[in-house]
Amino acid sequence: MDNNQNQQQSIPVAENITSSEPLAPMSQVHADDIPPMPSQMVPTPENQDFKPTQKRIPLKLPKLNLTTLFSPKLKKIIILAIILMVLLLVIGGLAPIILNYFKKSSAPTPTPTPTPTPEAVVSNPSPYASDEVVLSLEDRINRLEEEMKIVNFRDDALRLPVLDWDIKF
Amino acid sequence: MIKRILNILPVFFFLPFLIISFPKTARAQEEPILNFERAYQDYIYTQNLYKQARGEFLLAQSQYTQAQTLASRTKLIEKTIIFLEKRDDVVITYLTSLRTRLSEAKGLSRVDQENIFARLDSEVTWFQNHKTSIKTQGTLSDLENKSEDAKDQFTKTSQLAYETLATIPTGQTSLFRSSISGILSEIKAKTEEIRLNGDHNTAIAERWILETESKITASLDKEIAAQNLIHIIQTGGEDRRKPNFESLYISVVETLQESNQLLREANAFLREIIRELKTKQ
Repeated sequence: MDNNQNQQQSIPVAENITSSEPLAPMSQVHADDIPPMPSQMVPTPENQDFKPTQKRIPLKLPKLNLTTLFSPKLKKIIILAIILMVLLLVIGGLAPIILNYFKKSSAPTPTPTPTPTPEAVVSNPSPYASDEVVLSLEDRINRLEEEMKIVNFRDDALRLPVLDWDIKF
Repeated sequence: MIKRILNILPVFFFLPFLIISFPKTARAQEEPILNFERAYQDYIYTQNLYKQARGEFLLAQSQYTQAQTLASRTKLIEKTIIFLEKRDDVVITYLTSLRTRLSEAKGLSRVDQENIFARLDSEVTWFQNHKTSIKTQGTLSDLENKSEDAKDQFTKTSQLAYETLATIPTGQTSLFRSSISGILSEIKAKTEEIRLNGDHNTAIAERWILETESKITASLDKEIAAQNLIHIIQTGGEDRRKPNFESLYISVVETLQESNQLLREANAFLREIIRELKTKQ
């Protein structure tokens, strides 16, 4: 405290110095003439007018006791659920990578291509097996079969347009 | 110098004719024939325009319902006119697509085609006239009446559309049947020739020919049943209550599919007859 007072005595105060008045020697400046610094203004019984501008917020939060909040059974269930969720997330994340790896590693299998069924070979040909008219008829029958296979009777492209007919104001 | 000018002069003389005639020939080359593909593309394009116009109409309608101002009403009238015009356009392009499809259909008689063409053209004319008359309507109630007119007309249009759709595949079935009948006739003639030659037993082939004929007859019966259903679509049936044209059209398609299946079986029989004729007993 004495040290503080000594320091206060030694500091010249700019507010008290005016250009018209000559500066008093340091030895003559009294400690009572120097106003206290705002940081030094501590509420005292003598100085009741001073009030701090901001209220101090207590830094410590109320303690939560988890052991009392959840029962041991519930705690176990929660832990299991968290573990399961983590496992699911890991599996979900890894599944596409693993699948891709297996897809790449497996050799590409060629798609089966339709092969035309071979014509039944006549094992015991008659005199008409190579007859021009018979062969031409056979060819026409085959071509007709192909045409009949691909024909489509239903015209879905020209279905009636669905239009809004209910105009009411 | 004068000689040169005289040489060039004919070019200047013919140049205007060339300029006039060129665009016409170019236009003639560019103009595509209206086939089904093109007509269908027009129909799809018009449908998109209609959807857009409908969206704008609905927006204007909701704005008018909320605001009830003169400006919002004027805007609604404007949007309704566009919407009704586009709706008519969809019907016109749809009917045009149907017409081109019918004209490209195989196996139909010219009389049947002309009969439907005339009625389709009449429908197109109705909707074209209706479209022209929409612009002259000044109030919302007038437009509402115009819309009702088109709605009533479209009931008749849909009846004709289903009749056309049902008629198109009948030509194909009839074409298949006549092809198979033609092949069968030739097989019969050949079998008769072989029988007369006496170097091959044709008894089995002759029996199979009869079975093939019965298949063709059964197919024809189905085709007639389909024709009767088309007649119901055309006339609207004898009942007072109007029939469901769409379900009738589906029935026609199913009946024709059955007819086609019988024809395929007949065709398979023909193949067996040929194999029989080619094989030595």
